[in-house]
Amino acid sequence: MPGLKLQGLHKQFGEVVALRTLDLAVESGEFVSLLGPSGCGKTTALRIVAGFEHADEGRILVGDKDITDVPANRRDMGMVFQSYSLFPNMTAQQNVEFGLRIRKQRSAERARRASELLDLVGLASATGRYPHQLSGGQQQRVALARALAIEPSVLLLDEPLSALDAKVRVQLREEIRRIQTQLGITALYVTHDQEEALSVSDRVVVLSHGQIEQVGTPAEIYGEPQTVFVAAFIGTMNRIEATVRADPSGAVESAGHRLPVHAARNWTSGLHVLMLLRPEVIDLRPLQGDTSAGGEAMTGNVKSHTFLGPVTRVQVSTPIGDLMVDVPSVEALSVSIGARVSLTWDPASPRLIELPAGAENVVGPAAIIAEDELQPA
Amino acid sequence: MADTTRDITTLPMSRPRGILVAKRGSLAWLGVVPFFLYTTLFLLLPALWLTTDAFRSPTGGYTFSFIQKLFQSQYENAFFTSIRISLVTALVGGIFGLFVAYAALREDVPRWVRPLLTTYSGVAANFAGVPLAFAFVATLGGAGLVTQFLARFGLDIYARGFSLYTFTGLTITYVYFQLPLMILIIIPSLEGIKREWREAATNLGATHTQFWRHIGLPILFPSLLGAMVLLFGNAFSAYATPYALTSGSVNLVPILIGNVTSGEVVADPNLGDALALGTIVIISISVVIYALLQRRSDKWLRR
Amino acid sequence: MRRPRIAPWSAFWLLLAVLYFLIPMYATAEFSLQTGNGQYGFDAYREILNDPSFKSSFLLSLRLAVETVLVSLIIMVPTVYWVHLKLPRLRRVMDFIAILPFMVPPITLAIGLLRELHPLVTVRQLTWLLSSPQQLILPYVIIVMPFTYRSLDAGMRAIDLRILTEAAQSVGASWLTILFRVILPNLRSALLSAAFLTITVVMGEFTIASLNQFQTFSVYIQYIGAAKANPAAALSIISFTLTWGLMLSILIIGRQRGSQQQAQIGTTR
Repeated sequence: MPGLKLQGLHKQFGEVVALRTLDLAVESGEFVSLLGPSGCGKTTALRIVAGFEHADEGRILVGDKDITDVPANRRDMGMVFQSYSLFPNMTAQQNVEFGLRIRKQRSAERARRASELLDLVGLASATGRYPHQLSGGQQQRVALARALAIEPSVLLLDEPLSALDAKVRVQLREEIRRIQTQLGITALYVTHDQEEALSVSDRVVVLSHGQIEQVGTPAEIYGEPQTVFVAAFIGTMNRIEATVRADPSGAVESAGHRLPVHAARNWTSGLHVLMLLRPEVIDLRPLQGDTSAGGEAMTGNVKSHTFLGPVTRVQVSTPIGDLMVDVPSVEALSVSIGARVSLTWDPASPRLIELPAGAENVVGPAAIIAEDELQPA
Repeated sequence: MADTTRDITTLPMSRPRGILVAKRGSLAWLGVVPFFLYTTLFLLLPALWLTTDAFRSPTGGYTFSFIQKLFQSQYENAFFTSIRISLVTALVGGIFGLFVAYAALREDVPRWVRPLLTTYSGVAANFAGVPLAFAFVATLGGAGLVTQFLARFGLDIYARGFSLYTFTGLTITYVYFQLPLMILIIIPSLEGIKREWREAATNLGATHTQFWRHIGLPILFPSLLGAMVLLFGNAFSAYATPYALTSGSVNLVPILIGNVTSGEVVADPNLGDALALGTIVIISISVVIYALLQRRSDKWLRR
Repeated sequence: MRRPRIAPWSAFWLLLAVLYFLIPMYATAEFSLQTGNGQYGFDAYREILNDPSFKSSFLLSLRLAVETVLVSLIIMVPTVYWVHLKLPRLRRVMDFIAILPFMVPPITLAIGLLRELHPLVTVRQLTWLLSSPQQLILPYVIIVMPFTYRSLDAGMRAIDLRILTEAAQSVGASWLTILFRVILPNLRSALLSAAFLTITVVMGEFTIASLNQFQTFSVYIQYIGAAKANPAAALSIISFTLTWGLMLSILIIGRQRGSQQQAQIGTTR
């Protein structure tokens, strides 16, 4: 299986820049996701790879072969679309066979391959059904089988799960991953759903305004966001504007409070930074009476609870702003709304990002908004 | 389209039926009574009236003599000419209209083209009778603009046997309302061809032609056929245009009906009824053929 | 968005259509401006516009058109809505009935209707109808039915009637409220296109009107055409541009007022 290289892809629609010199190399057999909010250029990139759009500049390579000028119908790439892409006048079997029929394969061979693939996607029993007789999830399975039938060099997936119910989504994304691993096929996956991207990919590419914000493994993207955008976009992140303090053990200062951060040791004092803290790394303890927590703890009052299953997300109002804290749900019962709590964290956990001058507005409600955008309407 | 979001666990064949759908034997059908009453009174009964009158002799009692008259050569010819002109103009207008509508819907065509085309078609589809006849006399008549223009290049179309008042001339004139009618009817069906189907086919290696052969045309087939049947009926019914163009002298069924009914030549209302019945029968046959052909693609259509 | 260049063959078909549509119009316009001896002028137009019958027949047709729109919408909207909502099995029957008017030619319909209504002359309460041009509305509603039904059917298919209706019911709206405040605003473009086609059909209808001997606009044109050639050509141009202008303005007005609505409906690309 060859890999896929995008070199300096640039695409503009009138005044709007959809892609700004995008470079990306997908290794052979690798599963890479393009993740970003709508309008970030991820779909444009995929459509350029598929040949439906043409980049203003840049090249696309499959293995060592430059396919930039190869027409879409000769690129040998399998693509799975968002929805409605099955041919309504053909049965599941005929849909899967279509690419082979175009390639003039003999019908016995075609039928064998089609049933093999329908079997692979778990639809062996639905071969004779027409698309309108299949559920949304089943339709996308057929679409996957159809894309795989032509033994594509690269598998392209354009938000294939976005039109499905939550439960089917999870089930199908795992199967897509299983099949991709089993076949060892190179895959490029476009999604706006971070959970989806993080759970199935070898690497995730976070895009914003046509530019790559960060490329990394799901763990890197989640645990070590490199930019303010990634920090806001991926998961829930407490973001605290602070200034680096001259402190040998490492600390920053926010709203007059000292916050321990080992990472600050390597930073110049006085630098304007954003401190990033995941809700799950904060330790919450109820305080008895009106005692203020000593030492390194932050104190605050519980503002609200959100039950998320195994954990409950607690919003705590503190002098440095509202902080989100994940508490095991069994313990959350003991912290009632209005209760006074102390918050501590391992100083090794927080990350710092240097704030560009005049970038105040990146903090605050943006985190919540960004997360809302991720929920499919 | 709600089906696509259905859970994988639901039975594929079950159609979602909300609580609002009427159960058998409920009173919900009362809601459509006004409509059915109206169509019965002003569409079915008049047609039925004519049908029975076609068998009624002026002296009372019933007779087949008027029906038999239809097989006299003059009337038989009228039916043949009407069928021929309807078929030809349905095909020409239909295919021409399909291409024009498809071209107008393409993404590379400026947006303003479409509203201009559809409004123009809406008006032109009903542009008939004297205004239409005039327009074509001024264009292709003996002193018409195009006739003169061609004559300047040494092509005297009238010397070569063309006449606006013959079959060819009528055909060219009929297409003026057939083409826009086709455009109006087929645009919604063309919009039903999803971009994803085209792209999926391309992605799987199909050329433009292969897409249309295997996917586009089979999907479009029922609506295409239905549109052509409508065009056929539309041409068959045309009265004002051939009347105006030939002052009622052309041998077409609607003209004959008008003549024998209004008594300009000979008043013979029962013959008119028989001719009308014949018309209904011919158009019904075309609809039945359509229904039979359509059944072929029915299996993958949503019911 | 930057547009790619228009594909040559689609430009070809569009150009062919434009030529076919416009040359006869141009020829008619040229003819209507001729005043004899190779001179051009607006004499024909002046003559037409000064003819009182022009105004009266045009207004009669326009009035019939508007009344036909109203009657046909009053009958069709509740019916199509009801069928979509409660009697989906009737959809196929409706599809069939809606093309029946195409199978019964207008001339047949007109004669049949005359025959049917004739015995009613003796009924005193109905004599006004039988002598007034308003009786034309009866068959007109039938001949515009294919257009009205298609527009409404497509419009109702595009929105989720059931969800809209259930949502309205859940807040206690009556059927009338649901229809007028919820369904109709969402059907704006379908209603517009139904009205639009109805108007063009009625404005151009000749067969039934002439058989019943009412001087509608198209009957008037026929009458002028038999008598005077140049004014008839002028009249053709006037009638075509008037109707087209009317359509375009309906479309533009509908667009402007409908634009806020669009976002809620969520068009399917």
